[in-house]
Amino acid sequence: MAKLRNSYSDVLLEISEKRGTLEKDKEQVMVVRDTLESDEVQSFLANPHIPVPVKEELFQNAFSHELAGHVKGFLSYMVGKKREKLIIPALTEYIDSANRRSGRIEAKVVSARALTKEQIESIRRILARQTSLEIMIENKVDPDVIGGFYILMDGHIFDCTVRTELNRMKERLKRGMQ
Amino acid sequence: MIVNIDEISKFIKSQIKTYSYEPDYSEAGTVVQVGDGIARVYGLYGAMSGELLEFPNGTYGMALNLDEDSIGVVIMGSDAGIKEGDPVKLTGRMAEVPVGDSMLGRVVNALGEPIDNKGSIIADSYRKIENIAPSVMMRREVNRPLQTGIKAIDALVPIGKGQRELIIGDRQTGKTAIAIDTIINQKGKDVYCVYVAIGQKASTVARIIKVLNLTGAMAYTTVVLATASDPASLQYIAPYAGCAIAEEWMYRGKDVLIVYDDLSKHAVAYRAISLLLKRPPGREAYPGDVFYLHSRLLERAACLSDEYGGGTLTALPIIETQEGDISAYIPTNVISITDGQIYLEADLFNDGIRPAINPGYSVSRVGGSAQIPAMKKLAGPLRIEFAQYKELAAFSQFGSDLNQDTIDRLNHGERIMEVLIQPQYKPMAVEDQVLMLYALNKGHLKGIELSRIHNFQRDFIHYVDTHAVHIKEEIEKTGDLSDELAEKIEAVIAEVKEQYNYS
Repeated sequence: MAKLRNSYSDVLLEISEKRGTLEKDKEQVMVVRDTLESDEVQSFLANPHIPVPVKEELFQNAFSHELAGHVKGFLSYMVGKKREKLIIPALTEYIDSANRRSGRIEAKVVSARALTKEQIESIRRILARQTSLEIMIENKVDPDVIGGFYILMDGHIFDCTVRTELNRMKERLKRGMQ
Repeated sequence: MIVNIDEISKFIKSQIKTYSYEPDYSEAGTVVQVGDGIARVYGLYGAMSGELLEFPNGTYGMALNLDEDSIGVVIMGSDAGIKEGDPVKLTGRMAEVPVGDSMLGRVVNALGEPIDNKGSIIADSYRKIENIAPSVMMRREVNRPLQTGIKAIDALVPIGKGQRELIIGDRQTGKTAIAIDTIINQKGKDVYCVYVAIGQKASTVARIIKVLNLTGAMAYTTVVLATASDPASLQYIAPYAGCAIAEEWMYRGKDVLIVYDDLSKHAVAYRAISLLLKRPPGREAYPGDVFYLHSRLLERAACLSDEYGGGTLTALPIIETQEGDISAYIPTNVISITDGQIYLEADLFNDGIRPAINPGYSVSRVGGSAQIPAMKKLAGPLRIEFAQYKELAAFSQFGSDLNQDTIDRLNHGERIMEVLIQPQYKPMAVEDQVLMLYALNKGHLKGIELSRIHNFQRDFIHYVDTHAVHIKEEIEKTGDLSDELAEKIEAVIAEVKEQYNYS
């Protein structure tokens, strides 16, 4: 499944690059993904009793004027091939790859309390210096971390939470105070 | 060691003083789904199979299914507090337990954490719970006996050091009793013991621990505990953890005995995990690798060659059958893996024959090479006579017109049965066993009433202990039964019979 998802997003990316519309396509794809993500739409698309033309009609009605031809083509191709379930994962992968190509990366910062703009900016600056990429930060609040924050970025974690420190201390106490 | 509050606060203070702020950097994934002790984690492309993963609440998990775009993790502890979207860290470590002499006398859970309120364990070192079994070149043949202290076993199905002997039978037939008696009998024999309780009631295990404490056996025993209320993941790793603790001593050249009580519940726990991980079910809904589950565990029992320290690890796995069905999936698997089995029968148990060993189905594939010569001499004919008695007893029920030879054989058989009956928690030294079997073998019990045989045994052993200790010392020293010694024993038996009025 993962392979299939990647190859769809790769092909779409290739077309966008060839046409030089990567940025514009990415924005369109983000709109499509956000729209199709709802449970209702997903179950509609996955229903095998609904004929393909009806599903295509949905795309037509929803995004007829806004979408580029190849993005629309991608959607009808997926529906025609009965791979409706792969649409969202393939589009997500496309957005991630497009971001990476244009030197951008998403980072999730989770803290016990909401961070101020200055704090987020300083985290962004440091991360940008370390990775030489443009960082887009999403701040989430989770009181369970007790204090501090952790950053999830590109499959890695920078953990500076009090919760982790306490867990580490507990582990060392259990192992006999070395 | 008991940790006092002063010490802890001192430690915490020193930690705070030397506190350095170092962010933890590692590969991380996110929890997509959690429930039933299983988590599905997205990301973590660098995870190894079996690697420990850390959840934010400090609980560890083990990566078991490495799928294309997510991994299936069993949570080793409570899954409360883990929620969707939580980060999961790679640790780069496999599951390990503390090992070494500090484990003696302790009760620990499947992760090696103490649960006996005796303070923390200062471990010599840590050992991975999954290890490769010793290779062919590291082993040598099993040739030293491991005395269970149970006459029926030491005579008919002897166990050698480094052997794997299965104890199999229905519920309530005395399986655990045999294992516990064997542990008790290792007192003063320089054998370390590990008792692994898997999926049992906590009350049962509490009773066993009490017995071990009362008999002084706890001093050389470690109890690894995963009760029925523990998560299936802990029940799954408990025998491997126990084996790692035992293995450490074996590689240090010690003789070790490990009891897995019981492997049927272990297979059930593994089945639960496998089904939750959506692995395809096979026969009796067990996964395809349930044979490997037990074979890789029991292969770790070994008798090491002298170049590798000469240590031994004897394994006594226990399997509970349903309605005496030993042809079910798990029993047949474990029977084929082990070097023999002790088969216990509910009918015998109810007839008052305890231990309820069925000598027909019980076998030890190491056999005579794991017996002292004196025992070997006496046990040889015993097996045949016992089998003959069983056949005759069934036959004689049809008629009363029996010739003298048949009556003699039947009488002798009844006496064999009576001698092999032994109460729980009363293991018998091998020298005493030899003396009693000698009396039986030479027909000295012929004239004694069945009901008085146990009295005779008590008086006979007592007499030897008080008046002829040299006999026992010689058996202990040489392990053999010379003609000269036999004469001395004959004399003692005659003396006892006369003095206590048996005949």
